[in-house]
Amino acid sequence: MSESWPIEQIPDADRLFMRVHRNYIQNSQPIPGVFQNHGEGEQEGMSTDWSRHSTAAQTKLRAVNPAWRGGVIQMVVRDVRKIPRQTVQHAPLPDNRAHTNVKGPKKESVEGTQVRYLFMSIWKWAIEDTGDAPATTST
Amino acid sequence: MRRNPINIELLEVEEAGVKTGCSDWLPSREREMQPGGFAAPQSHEDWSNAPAITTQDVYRLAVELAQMREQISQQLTEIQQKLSQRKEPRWRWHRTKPARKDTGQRVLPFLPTDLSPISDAIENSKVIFNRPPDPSDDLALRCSQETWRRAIKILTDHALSVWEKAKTVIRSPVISAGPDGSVDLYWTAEPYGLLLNVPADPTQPATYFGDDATNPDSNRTSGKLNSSKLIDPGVLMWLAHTAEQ
Repeated sequence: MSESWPIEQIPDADRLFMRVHRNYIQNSQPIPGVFQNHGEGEQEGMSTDWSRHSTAAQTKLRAVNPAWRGGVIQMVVRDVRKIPRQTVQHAPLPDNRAHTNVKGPKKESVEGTQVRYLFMSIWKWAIEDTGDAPATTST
Repeated sequence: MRRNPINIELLEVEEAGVKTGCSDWLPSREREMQPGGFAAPQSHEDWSNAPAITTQDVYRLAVELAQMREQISQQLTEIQQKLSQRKEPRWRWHRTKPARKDTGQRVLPFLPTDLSPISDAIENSKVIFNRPPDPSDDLALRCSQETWRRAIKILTDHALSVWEKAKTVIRSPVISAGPDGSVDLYWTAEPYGLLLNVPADPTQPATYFGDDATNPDSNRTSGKLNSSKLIDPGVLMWLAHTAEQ
């Protein structure tokens, strides 16, 4: 999967971008449930894009479904690494050099609840959901 | 004759017709209960100075209790009639409405009007088990109505407890679907926050974590809810922190 792009070390000061679907935005903030892992095996993790190789707008445009609506949040890598048992691993895809997995448990038990709570305290909007407008690169 | 009425040494027992001690204790005929209560012996000056409970008092209290019971019963009947007519009673209690009249759907608890923000949050949260399929939604967070109900019960139990104990209204949480069909209740009130997760499996306990952002390392709360207890003291304390000031 990652032959075409080298795996790099991600500095603490960089940021990670993540799409949040409109269905999961309440009171102008993402719900805690958006912080969860996807995929299996080596690719299991919370999918994000590394700011060195992507902008927030590009992350938004990577939504597979053209009807997708929502916003993009950003998290500082240093803050993510402070959350218990969470690791940040660059996992480039052939069509997305920025792809990065945040690995580590995010559900079940008190620890999973703690992890999602702490994610809720470190995110910021990179692109807010703007009503009915489709995904664009204008912001 | 002055005598200490609570001096145990003076309370001797009458045996075999031999009268000992308490010489001023009245004969049994005079001890019979009269409509006006037990006659207080004039020789017990200390007793006569203290207010005595008489049978008249007992009768009066019984009548008052019966009247109060009748009034409460009438008021409850009025409330039930008004609710059945979909009119709010005089002191405006707010009833959360179920999304649908599903067969077997349990009625949610009544919440005082002061807790209407909580009622509104509950009402609005029904979308998390009623959401229509959305092909553009790649996360597809869903939960069952049963899991939602358990989460709402935890919420209302704690909101009512804080209200009854401190007349304080807790902040409305974000009620949302969590991982694996669970339900999240999330509160923020800077600097305090709390996330409570109710799993889809009813045999598993709800878990929670909260902290004080100004002192997160030493001022935090976490744990599992004991299903045998309605109220968790740790959650209760943290919710009181998040209450509207």
